[in-house]
Parts: sequence; C-alpha cells; structure tokens
Amino acid sequence: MAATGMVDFNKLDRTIHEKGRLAIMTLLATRPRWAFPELKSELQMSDGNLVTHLRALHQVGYVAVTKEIVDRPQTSYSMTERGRTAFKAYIETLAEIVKLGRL
Amino acid sequence: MDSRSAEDHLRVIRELMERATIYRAISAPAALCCGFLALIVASAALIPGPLQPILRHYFVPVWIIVFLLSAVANTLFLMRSTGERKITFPSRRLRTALVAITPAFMVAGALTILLTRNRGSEIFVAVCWIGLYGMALLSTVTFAPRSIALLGWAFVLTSCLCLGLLTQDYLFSFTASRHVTLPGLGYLAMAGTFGLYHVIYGFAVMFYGRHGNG
Repeated sequence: MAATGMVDFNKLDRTIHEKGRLAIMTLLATRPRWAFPELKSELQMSDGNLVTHLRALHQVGYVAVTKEIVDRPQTSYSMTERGRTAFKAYIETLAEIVKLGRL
Repeated sequence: MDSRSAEDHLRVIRELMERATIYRAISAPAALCCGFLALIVASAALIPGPLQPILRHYFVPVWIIVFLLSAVANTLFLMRSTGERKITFPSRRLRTALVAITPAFMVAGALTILLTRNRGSEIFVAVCWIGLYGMALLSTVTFAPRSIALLGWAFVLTSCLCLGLLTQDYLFSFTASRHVTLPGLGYLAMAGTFGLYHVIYGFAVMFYGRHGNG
C-alpha cells in the first residue's frame, strides 16, 4: 500500500496522470463531443502524439470513438461514463493532496 | 506527488477547461471593419455633401446595409480562423453564440418596424439598436472573453444614458441649439457606439492578443 498520510497515491490514475492524456481528458470533460482537428488545434499536439494518447485512453475504456461521414470522413471523441468517473476520482485525489499539504 | 504539484495539475485543468469554453464571436479585424464602416457612413451623413440628403432620408435601410456588410465581414474572418485550425464551419461554439444572440436581434427587428412608422424616430431606433446589441453581446457572457462583456456593457450603459436624456424638451433644445436634425443625432449615436466602440475593441483585442492576454 503506497499511502502517505491520509491520501492513497494508488488512487491516482496513472493513465490520466500523464500530461498529454490529462489535457485530453480535461477537454473531453467540457462538452459531449470533440472532433479530432478541434482537439489537435486546442492542444497543439502532433497527429501521431494525439492518436497515441487517444488510443491509450480508448483501450482503458475512458474514451469513445465515433467515425462518421459529414461531407468528409470525421472522427470524434467523447468521454465515457467510466472515463468521467475516473476523471472525477483523479481530481478528487488531487484536491485531497492539496488539502493535506495545507494542514 | 506533493501538494504543490497537485495544485499545479488542478490549475492546468481549470485553465484548459476555461480556455476550451471561451469563444470570441466577434473577431478583432471584423470589429475594425465594422467600426470604420460605421464611422465613414456616419461622417458622410453628418458632413454636408452630395450623399448627406440620401443618407439622412434612408436612415434604417442604410444601417441595415452596414449591418449586413459587417455580418458578412465577421463571417469571412471567422471562416478564415476556423479554416486555419481545420475546424468545420460553423463551429459548435459559433452556433451556441448565434442561439444566444438571436432573441435580442429579433426584438431589435420588431422594434425597428414599430418605430420607423413615425418620422423623426431615428435617434430612438439607434438607441434601441445600441441597447439590444449590447444585450446580445452580454447574452454570450458565460463563454465569451472579458473584452466582449466589456463591449456589451459599454453599449448597454450608453443606451441607458441616452434613454435617460432623450426627453422631448431636451431633444428639442439640443437639436435647435446645434442645428442638428433627429436623423443627424441618430447618425451621431451610431458613429459613437457602433463606430468608435468597435474600433477601440478591435485595436484593444489586437494589442492584448499580441501580448498574450487576448
């Protein structure tokens, strides 16, 4: 058990904790759907980097992928219920750490 | 992870969320185009010349044309901006902004039809447009940058101030003492707000945008 004080650091989701994936999860939390170019433009990431992170998040079930043809083929991403729960838990753990530091 | 880095993570999350939801519905170059166009049209109506009688006679149609040209300019600038970021036009955020501003524009249209039935109502039409345009901008305040909110408040407060001053006695004494007609007063109000305020907004957004404070 890697716990320090009252915070169990195992609760800190390693998949979300990575900087790029955290940014993706944050954006996906703001609205129901994000098209790939919108995510790319907002995060200033390369195609390859963004695809890798999105794939990692999709593999753990945090992100759902929708492919459709609207004038041209478009891939959009949304946060799953599982992802939302994990993201909420991640933020709560961060808040706990901050609170502990202020004691 | 210590509390400082946890705090940094939370700050990054908050900033990213705020940035993702902010949307500027009026681009700075479009505001400058609209502002200068309004100033040019108002100058042509206020300074004696060949266009003055026509412009003064067709106050509402003239400003509807100015509005349409400005809307086209804004659309083109927004299209260019979304094109640069490879985002489909109209973007989700633009659609949200349009839904938010539509009620105020509808009321402005209805009031224009009602007020233009009487001649000499140009200044009242102008004040209604100023106030409702300000309210349209303020209806996007939950996702608009601070500069749009300030612009909206400037329009609303100017409109309130004008409505407070526009008593018949005051209008009569104002127009009589300065040889200004009611359409002329309307052009003056439009130049001061749609002209000047947009020019100030456009330059301010361009300046602060370059200095990372958009």
